[in-house]
Amino acid sequence: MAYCYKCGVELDRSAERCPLCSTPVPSISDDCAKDEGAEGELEQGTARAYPDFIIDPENKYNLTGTERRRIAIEIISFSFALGAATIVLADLLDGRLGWSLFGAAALGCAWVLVAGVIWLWKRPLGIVACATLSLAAFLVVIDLLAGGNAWSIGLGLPILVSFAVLLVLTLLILRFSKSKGFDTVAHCLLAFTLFLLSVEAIIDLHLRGSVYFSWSLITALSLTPLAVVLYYVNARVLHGADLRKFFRL
Amino acid sequence: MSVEPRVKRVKKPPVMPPWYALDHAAVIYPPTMSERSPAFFRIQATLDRPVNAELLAKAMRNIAPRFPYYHVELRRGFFWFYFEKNELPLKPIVDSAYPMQKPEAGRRGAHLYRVRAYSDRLALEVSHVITDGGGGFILFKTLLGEYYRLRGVDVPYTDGIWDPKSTPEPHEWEDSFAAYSEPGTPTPVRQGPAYHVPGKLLPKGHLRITTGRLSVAALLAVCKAHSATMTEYLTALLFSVLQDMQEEERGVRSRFRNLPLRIEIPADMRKIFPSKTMRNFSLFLEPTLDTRLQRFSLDEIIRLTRSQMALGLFKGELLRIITRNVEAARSIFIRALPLPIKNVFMRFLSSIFGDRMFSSVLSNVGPMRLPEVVASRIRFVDVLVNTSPVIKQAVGIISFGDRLSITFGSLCERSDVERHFFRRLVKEGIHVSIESNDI
Repeated sequence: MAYCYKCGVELDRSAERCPLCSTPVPSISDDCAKDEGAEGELEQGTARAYPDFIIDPENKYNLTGTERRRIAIEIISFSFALGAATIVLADLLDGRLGWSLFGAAALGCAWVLVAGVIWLWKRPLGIVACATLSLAAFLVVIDLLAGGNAWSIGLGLPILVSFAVLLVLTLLILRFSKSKGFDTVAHCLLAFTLFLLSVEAIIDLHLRGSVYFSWSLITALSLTPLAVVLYYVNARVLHGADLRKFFRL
Repeated sequence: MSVEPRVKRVKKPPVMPPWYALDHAAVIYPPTMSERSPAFFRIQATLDRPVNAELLAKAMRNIAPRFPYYHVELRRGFFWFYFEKNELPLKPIVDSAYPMQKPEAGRRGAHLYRVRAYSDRLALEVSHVITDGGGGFILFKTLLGEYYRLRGVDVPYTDGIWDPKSTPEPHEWEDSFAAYSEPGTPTPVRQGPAYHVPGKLLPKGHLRITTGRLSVAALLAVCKAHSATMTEYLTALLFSVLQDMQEEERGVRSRFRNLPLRIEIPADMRKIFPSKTMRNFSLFLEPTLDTRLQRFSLDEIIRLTRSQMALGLFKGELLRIITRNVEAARSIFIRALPLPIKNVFMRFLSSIFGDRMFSSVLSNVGPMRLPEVVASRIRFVDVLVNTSPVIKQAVGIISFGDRLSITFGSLCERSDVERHFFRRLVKEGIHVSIESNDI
């Protein structure tokens, strides 16, 4: 039988300290405990009054993240399929398939994008890969449906790939870069500049067969100094200060 | 002319409606339930040997048809929450260090009571949405009775143990608030905010349970010396502890330090009105101690508490509260509000007329009587009542034989209230043994 000498109350055998005042209970040797065992009613139970673990019976009803994603994809798939079927059937009222194929292709691409983002949640590289592939497929399908001018091969796909590559590079730099704040904005500006240069190069190659930078060079000459200023401000003025601190209202 | 044989009409047993509305006391709980205030109460018995989970599950299955109004799920309607029959079987679950977790309001299949077991302890946790202590104790006693019958004990159906094979009567699922309200009764006098013990809250989901056990005879001797009943004495003691704590922080800047003390004491209306409902039918008394007037001695507090409790139990005063609750819900303005807006409104009402009005909660459910064959197999019985982040601590009191159990459920990191309360009992020469879930 243990007592708290401060509170004067009897404590449970398993108590290591008084629940009222947190005074530690001096440990009693097993022999002493055995001698006193028959005295009080509290000694009848050997286990603690309450378990050491927490069990929330409501948790069993909570769905896991995977289950939630599976249900979301199921609902989205059904909705997109219903939408695609509706426009195809509406188009068939004229007797033949036409405009609805564009709509169905767009819905198919949107389905891959949305379902991909849900399924690959918190995996940005996977999401970029999934989005690039679905958009590439969509461009090719639209090109074929529109008569097959091959613009998707010469223009659409290269621009898409250059965008995806620059996006992945920027994400990797942002992830591994120790310097944040204005540097983040500067990285994005430089990536955007490179993207515009690549777009003009791809258009020139497709139309003329040679590259001549004009408008993209002007944007590059505007954005690059701005990025340099942001790098400078971050390095020399803010010293990596938190933007939330700097712009605190 | 042929004579048709006389057919004896067999009275069909009453059937629970497939869905029905919450009673007028329960409507406030679904919108205000939170992780820290789950609107549950808990009755637990420590048996003389470990609980047999299989027999317990069988006992639960056996008694379930007798209490169809507890096997319901809470559903969201457009204007109100409502009950629907819950077809999912209820199984016993392992107890937890921090019990009484909040159920998800409106989720399919979520039961509104639980049976938990750990070692030699058997506990029933009941949501106030379905019933109060009056109904909860009948359910618990019937469960204990059936459990021991399955263990081979010849348990009589007395002392609140119901025969599981008997038929539920319609008056058991009656909304007695609606039945006993008297339109035209003046509304009750509104009380202002009360003092609250300051202090940091425990993390969400944590609830510190501190149970003090003492001899009923020893406490009654002390009560007799103060010419008080047990409830009056223990309420006065809690007031006195809160008064000391309030005085300690007089110098500390706090907007609550100069407010009066008020304790919420639930009272079973079945003892005053001839109701046999198994759903909610309790109100609360509101004894107040205005410590701005003077410092009160324990005997002064007892006198004040006694007179205020007597006034609170005056039938006319109770009718005021019952009628206000019912008439508010009948108002076309309230009824026409969609449920999400109504929920916001209810939370606001609960804050103004509930949590802010009370410094603490003290619920004395009285003696737990059981047939001797069952009582001899139970060592302790405790009751734990719901609290809230504003009130922070609530006291549940129950006696079983000569053993009185006083259980504090606290959401506050500091344990001053419990400490001072039990130390005061020890100073009166009463032997107190303490048990806690503090891990």
